[in-house]
Amino acid sequence: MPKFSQMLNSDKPMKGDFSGFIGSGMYGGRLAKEETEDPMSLLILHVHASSNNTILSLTDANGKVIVNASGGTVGFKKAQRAGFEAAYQATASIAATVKERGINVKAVELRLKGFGTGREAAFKAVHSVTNWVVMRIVDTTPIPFNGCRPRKARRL
Amino acid sequence: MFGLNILRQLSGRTLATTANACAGRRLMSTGRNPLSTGDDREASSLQSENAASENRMQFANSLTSMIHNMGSSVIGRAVPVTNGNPASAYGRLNRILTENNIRRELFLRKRYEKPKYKRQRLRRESHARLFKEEVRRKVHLVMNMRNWGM
Repeated sequence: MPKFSQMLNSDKPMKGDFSGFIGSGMYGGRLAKEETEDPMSLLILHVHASSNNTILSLTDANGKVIVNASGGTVGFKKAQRAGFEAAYQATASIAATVKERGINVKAVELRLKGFGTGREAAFKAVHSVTNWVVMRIVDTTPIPFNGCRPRKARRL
Repeated sequence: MFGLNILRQLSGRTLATTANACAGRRLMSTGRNPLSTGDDREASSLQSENAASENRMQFANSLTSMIHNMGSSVIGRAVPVTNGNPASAYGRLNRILTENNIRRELFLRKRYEKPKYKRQRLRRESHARLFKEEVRRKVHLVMNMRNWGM
């Protein structure tokens, strides 16, 4: 890990682990300026992995939805929608739809929400089924700083 | 790397402001008065020192502006993929999450925990933590004593 003393002694910003944060951009400096301005150049795959289902949404950089898929849209019912297979097939179906519509997928950002089984499954599918270049993986699970009061405890 | 992420999550500007402060302190410690005139060599080295500090300030400012631009509460949990290896980035993300106990916290927040039970749980956890620390110390002491030949 780079040290403060190195940072102070050097005249230029350091490479290596810092490269993800220096002014070269938040994607490790791998997107050109023109690309960052065009919303279709960087797509975001939102993965909402709850304990009962997995919902996937491919959107452009501004959040405008392109394709939707979930455990239910690929033909699973009820409890099976929450499984590994359902999330895997949902990601595959998104990839297929995107190819069908002829959208050229250059860079993808992965936004994971929730800790269901679909989380791991969607990531594995993106890694194996598709040939998308993943730029950044973000965890977007909403964490309240003591916000709303949750439901009462289950008494079994 | 993970530490830096957590630091950013906790206090967005600390890194840059500390860098600024450190750079300032370094300048002052060289004992040079920027207003005094001296030899040519001294002046040129002063200029290069100023240029270096300029670069440092720019670097630090770029960090703060980066944080501002990213702007969301999610910066500490965002992992850029390096070397075209998303699996390692995913592993890093998981490590960040486990080190910050996010899964456990979310699980506890799922259902409301009454203050009485929360107090009991906190006391129990604290006691367990202290006990384990004591045991750890004793075990290390025994290991050290064995090394010393007792």
